[in-house]
Amino acid sequence: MRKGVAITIFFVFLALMCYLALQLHPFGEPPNKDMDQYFIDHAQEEVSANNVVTSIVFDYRGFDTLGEATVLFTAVAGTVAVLRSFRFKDKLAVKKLILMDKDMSVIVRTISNILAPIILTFGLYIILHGHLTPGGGFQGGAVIATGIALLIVANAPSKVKRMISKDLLNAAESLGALGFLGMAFLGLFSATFFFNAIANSGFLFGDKTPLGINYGNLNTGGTLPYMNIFVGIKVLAGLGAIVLVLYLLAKGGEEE
Amino acid sequence: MINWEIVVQNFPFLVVGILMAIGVYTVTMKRNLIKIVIGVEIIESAVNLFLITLGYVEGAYAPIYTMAPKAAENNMVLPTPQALTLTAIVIGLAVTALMLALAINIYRHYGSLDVRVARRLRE
Repeated sequence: MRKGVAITIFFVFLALMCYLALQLHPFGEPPNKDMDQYFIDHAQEEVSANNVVTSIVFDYRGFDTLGEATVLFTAVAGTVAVLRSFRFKDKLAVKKLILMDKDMSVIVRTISNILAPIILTFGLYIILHGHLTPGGGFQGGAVIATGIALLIVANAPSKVKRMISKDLLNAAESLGALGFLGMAFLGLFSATFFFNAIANSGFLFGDKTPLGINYGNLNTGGTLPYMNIFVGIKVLAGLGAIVLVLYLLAKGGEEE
Repeated sequence: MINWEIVVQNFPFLVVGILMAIGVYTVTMKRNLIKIVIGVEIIESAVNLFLITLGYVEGAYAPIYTMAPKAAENNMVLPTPQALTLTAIVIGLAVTALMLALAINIYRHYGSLDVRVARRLRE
């Protein structure tokens, strides 16, 4: 009975969704693209960034990104807060914890030691070139967090605790958030919140970008590269903290 | 009755609709918390895919000027949906971790991941 009702509701909802999908504009022909055309035409002179997507994320719609960064901050803080009080009560689990405190096999450790520096370098490249090539602070930070996760999983909990501390990651995340806000407030000196004050000013990252298709100049972008770096620090610290807390939990709870 | 040309052309939107339906079914009808988290993830992927497909322009290039091909001038896909999706992916990862952390805590308290068990306030 319940199963039948569920399947009926599923198919009704599916039919509604498919009907709505067919009512939309034809795929590949968006009806109104004035706003996006403005971004495409003006991003190079106004924000001096080759990557239009990054110029929208950190300049035109910077306020929206601030909200997203807050959601990330809250989610990470919530995860750490929910899992930090986890403790095992029975003796058997503690015995298991001691048994589990060892590295993974030599193969895993060797490969992760070779791969991790490469992944970290690649993540740094994505963060620093966020205003020129696909990528930016969010993606680069996630890539670096993957490298950190590899290092964490391959090593024993006692060793991981000596390498990375949760407090350090939390401090780094706060630093990233404050830096991002600081760069946003920098725009207040010239015009408005999130105004790109450094673009075309001759300061570091302040060169003019050549209009049209070009080979890319790293020294452009104004506040964009700074924001990319701060958001990168924030994302890698946040995701790293999540992986660390979950790993220590999986390896038998976290003692104070 | 059904215009098959539009069905073929709007196939990416249809995929979004199917993913959405599967996700909503999983969230509302399943009783295991891990499966509910998976359902939320499916809905999230559907939304991301929807935003990206909304901004697609037939035969256009990525909105990046660095070493783009000559044909990309004045022929780029809409950048705003991409900017929205880009942040949403990383946020989704962190929110998934939060949901799993809550599931872990519920399992510790009740010894079960069934939503019917975890419905009373305790302690």
